[in-house]
Amino acid sequence: MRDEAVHPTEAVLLDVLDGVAEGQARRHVAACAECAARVEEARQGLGLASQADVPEPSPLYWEDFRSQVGRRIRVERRSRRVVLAPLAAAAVLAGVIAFLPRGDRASSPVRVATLPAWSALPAEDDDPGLGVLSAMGGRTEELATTVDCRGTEDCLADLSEEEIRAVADLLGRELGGGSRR
Amino acid sequence: MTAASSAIPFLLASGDGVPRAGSRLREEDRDAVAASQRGEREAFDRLVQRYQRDVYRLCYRYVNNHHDASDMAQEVFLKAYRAIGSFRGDSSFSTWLYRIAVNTCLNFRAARRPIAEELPDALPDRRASAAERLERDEQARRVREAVSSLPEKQRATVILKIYHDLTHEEVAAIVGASVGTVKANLFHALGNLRKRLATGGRE
Repeated sequence: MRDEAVHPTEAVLLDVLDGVAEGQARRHVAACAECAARVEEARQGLGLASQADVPEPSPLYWEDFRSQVGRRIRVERRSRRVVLAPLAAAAVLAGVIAFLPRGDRASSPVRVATLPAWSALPAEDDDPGLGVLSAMGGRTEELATTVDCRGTEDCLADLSEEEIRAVADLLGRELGGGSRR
Repeated sequence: MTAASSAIPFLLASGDGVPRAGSRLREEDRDAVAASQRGEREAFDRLVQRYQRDVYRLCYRYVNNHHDASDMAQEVFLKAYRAIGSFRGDSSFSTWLYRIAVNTCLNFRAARRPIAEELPDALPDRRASAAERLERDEQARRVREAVSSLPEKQRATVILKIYHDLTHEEVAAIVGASVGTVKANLFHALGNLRKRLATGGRE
């Protein structure tokens, strides 16, 4: 078959421009004025494209940029806490219920859901909700480790959607099915 | 066109059969990503520091002005922060971040017309004379506007391939197309750029 019988695809013509095309495609472009013109036009387009630098901001700008990103993240975390605050309160309440003497519930084992691990549970005495959250996690070591949050709300603000659902499910069972209200 | 329809549809999908760019997480990103997923904000700040310039420049290519590019780049990192827990390392972190950036840019463009505006505090090139700088800046502005006026996928391909030096495979993973389509888009885009700049933007 003659090389110039069928025009190569644009993808192959780009390979010709990049110098990585197979011999048949190269021979076609060498013999076909139409394809040669298209490759040349793309070559000129590439040359023009390289003349379009983006203006470089001042070095001081990047420090401010990071501060702005950090500020927006903090704002978002705060607004999430506002949403989660009632959940935190409910967690404390559920914990109180769970830890009260069980009496009539003694014969039926309490089911404790296993929650996914979250990163941070500080052992702070002034936030009883933290202990509750830890207990809700199945009293496993994975929740007893470390710690970046300063209180129940802070911990809850770091939960993933899946973890929030797990906490909500557990609370629903505790509050809905419990006998101490 | 609505914002939703302008977004490249595969971008936030997973397991979609789209070729993945660089299947390994860059070594220096791995620790920072893992720590960010554990909620360590300082680690995420390191990622911001590492990629802020690339993301800003990508956004600038779409909107052609500093203020919108800055705002969009911040938005990109905010979205990345929200979603970092779902990042599983199927692609490189930068590819994942570029996906978010391209989608954010497309949604922004759908909602607003770009305003051409030069950066007020851009660093001058002291090696060039004022006249040379003026001429070069003007040419750069014309080329940026020509790139900005390309059809959506051609524009994304030019920006990612030429200005961010990604491989065809990486671009394919970001724009949700085959490598052959990416190459064809790039070839068309280069021809279109040449035509648009030769005719002062009128094709």
